[in-house]
Amino acid sequence: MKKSLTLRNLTGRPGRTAALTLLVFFLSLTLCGGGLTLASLNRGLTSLENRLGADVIVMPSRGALKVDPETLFLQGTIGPYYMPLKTVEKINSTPGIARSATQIYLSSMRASCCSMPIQVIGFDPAEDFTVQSWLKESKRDTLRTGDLLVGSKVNARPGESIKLYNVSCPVAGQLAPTGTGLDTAVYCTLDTVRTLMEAAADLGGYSTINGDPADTVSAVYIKAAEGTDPQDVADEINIHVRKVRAICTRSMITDVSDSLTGLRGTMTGLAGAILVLGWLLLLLAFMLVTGERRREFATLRVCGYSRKALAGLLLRESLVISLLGAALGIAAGFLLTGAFSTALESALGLPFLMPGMSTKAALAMGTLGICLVAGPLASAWAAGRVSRVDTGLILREG
Amino acid sequence: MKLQAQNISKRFFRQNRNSNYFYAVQPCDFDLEEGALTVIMGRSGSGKTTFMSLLAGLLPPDSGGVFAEGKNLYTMKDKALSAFRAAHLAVVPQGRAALDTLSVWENVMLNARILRRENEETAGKAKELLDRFGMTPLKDARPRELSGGELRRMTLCRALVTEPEILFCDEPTGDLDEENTRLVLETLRDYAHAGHSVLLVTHEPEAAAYADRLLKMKEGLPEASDP
Ligand SMILES: Nc1ncnc2c1ncn2[C@@H]1O[C@H](COP(=O)(O)OP(=O)(O)OP(=O)(O)O)[C@@H](O)[C@H]1O
Ligand SMILES: [Mg+2]
Repeated sequence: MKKSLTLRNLTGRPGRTAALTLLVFFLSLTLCGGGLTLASLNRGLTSLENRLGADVIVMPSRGALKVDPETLFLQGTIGPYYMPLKTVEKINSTPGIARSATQIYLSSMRASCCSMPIQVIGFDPAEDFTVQSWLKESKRDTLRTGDLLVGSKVNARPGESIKLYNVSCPVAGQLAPTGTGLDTAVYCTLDTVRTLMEAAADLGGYSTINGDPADTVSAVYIKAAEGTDPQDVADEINIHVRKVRAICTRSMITDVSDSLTGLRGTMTGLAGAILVLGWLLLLLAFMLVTGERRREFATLRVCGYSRKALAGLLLRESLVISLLGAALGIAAGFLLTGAFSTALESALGLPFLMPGMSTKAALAMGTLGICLVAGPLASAWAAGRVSRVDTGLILREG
Repeated sequence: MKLQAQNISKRFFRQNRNSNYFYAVQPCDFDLEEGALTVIMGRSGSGKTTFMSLLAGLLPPDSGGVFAEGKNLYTMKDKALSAFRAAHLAVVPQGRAALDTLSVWENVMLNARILRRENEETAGKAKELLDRFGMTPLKDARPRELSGGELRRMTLCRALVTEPEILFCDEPTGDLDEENTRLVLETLRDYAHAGHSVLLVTHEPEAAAYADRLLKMKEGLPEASDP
C-alpha cells in the first residue's frame, strides 16, 4: 500500500511532526489530567458524604496524640485516643440522638509481632450505621469475630491472614476504595479489636493508662433525631460532657466542598489559560511551518492540486497530528494522575478517588474531541492562506 | 491537444512617467500546435515566463482567454481547472519545484500520484526516464541534496511520466552541460513529434536548431522568427 501524501509529509519531516505533536500533547495532557484530578476530588467528596452517615462525631479532647478531627475524616488518619464507657453513656443521654455507634482505634507496630504497621478500626456491626453502607458497596455485610476486612490498598488477599500483636487474623474481604487513609486500614468487630488491645498491652502497643481495653472506646458516631439540628446536639455534648469534643460533620463537608469549589475555580482558570496559550502557540507554529513550506505548496498547485485539495491536505495533516498528540496526552494524563494520586491526596489534604470507567471514558472522549477541533482550527487559517499560494514563486524564481 | 490563446495580456503594477502599469505580456493571439516543438526565446524580463504561465492556466490574464477543446480555462472553477491541468498538461517551472519531504523517486511519481495512476506502467516509464537522464543512482536521495542541474532533470522526468498532451518547459536546460542539454532538447523534440504540444522557453541558442516553430519575445509580444 502506498502511503498517502498526508502521511508521507508527516513521516518525511519527523522533527517538525514531533514538535507539533508535542504542542497538542500538552494541550491534551492539561485537559485530561486536570479533568481527572477534579473528577477524582469530586468522587472523593461524594464517597466521603456517603460513607460518613453520622451527623456528629465525638472524640476525647485529650488523647495521647492530638489529632485534628478534620484530618481524621478527610484523610482517614486515626490515632490512639480513648475514653471510658461511662463517658459514652453520658454522651448517649444527650437529647436529640436517634442512633449512636462506637469505634475503637488501634495502631499496629513495625515489629516482628505484626505483619505490617496498620490502623485497626473496631466497630459494632449491630449498632453501626456509618461503615455499613460502605461495606455493602464492598458486598460485605456480615463480619465474624476475629475476621478482618481490609482497605483497598492493604496488601492482603481474602483467605490470607494478617498477624497483629502475634494474633493471626484471617482476611474475610477487601473494601471499596475511599481515596483516603482509610484505604490502608483494617476493620474488625469491637470484640476483635479489644482482644488485639490486650495482646498489644503486653507488647507495648497499647498503654493501659488509657484504661482497660474492655472499658474504652475511641469515638462515638451520632445520628441526630429527625427535626433536631445536629449542631445543637454537638453543642449540648460539648457543654455537658467533659473531656470530649463533639463536631458536626455537616460543617466539615461544607468546608471540603467549599475548598473544592475554590480549587475547581483555580484549576479551571489555570487550565483555561494554558489551553488558550497552547492553542495560540499551535496557531503560530502552523503559520510558521506553512510559511516555510510555501514552495512545496506552490509545486503541488502547479502539478494540479486544487485550492480545496491543498487546504484539505494541510487540514488532514493537522488532524493526524492532533489525533496522535491527543492520544498520547490522554494516556499520559491517566498514567500521571494514577501514579501521583497518593501524592495529590496528601498534598491537597482532600479525599482523592479515581472516577469510574464511564467518567474516564467521557473525559478521554471529551479531550480527544477538543483536540481534534483545536488542532485543525489552528491550522485552518494557514490552510486558507496556503490555498491561495502564489505559483509565481516557483514559476519565476530560479 | 491544441491550445488557443485569444487576445491575452497581462500587466503589472509599476509606476513610470505615463502610467501606473506596464504590460508584461501585450494583447496577442497565439496557437500552441500539436506535434510541434515551439520554442520561445528572448531577453531576460521580456515576459516569457508570464506568457507561459498564462497559457498553462496558472495566471489569470487581464484580457482575453485561453481555450482548449472549446472551453476557456479561465472561466472554469478552480477545481475543474486544476483537474484539467493535472490530466492534460505538465509544467517544468523555471524555479525550484520539489517536495522536500519526498524522495527523488516519489517526486518523479508525484503527477502520477495526483492522477491516481501509480501503476506498473507509470513506474516503468519513470524508471526509463531516470535512466535516460542518468538519475537512477539518485532515486532515493532527497531533493535538498541535488545539484541545480539534477533538480531540473528530476522535474522534467516528473512532467513526462504521465505523458501529458501539453508540456511547458521554462529553462529546462539551465545549469546543464552540453551533453545533457542536447539530451533534453532531443527528448523534447521527440516527444513533440510523437503528437504532443510542447512549448519550450529558453536562452539556449542551440534550441533554435531543434525548434519546429521559433518565437522571439520582445517587450511582451511574441514575434515569429525563422527556425
Ligand atoms: N507578479 C509580478 N509583479 C510585478 N511584476 C512582475 C510580476 N511577474 C513578472 N513581473 C515582471 O514582468 C516582466 C516579465 O517577467 P517574466 O518573468 O515573464 O520574464 P522572463 O522573460 O521570463 O525573464 P527571464 O528570462 O529572466 O526568466 C519582468 O519585468 C518582471 O519584473
Ligand atoms: Mg522566466
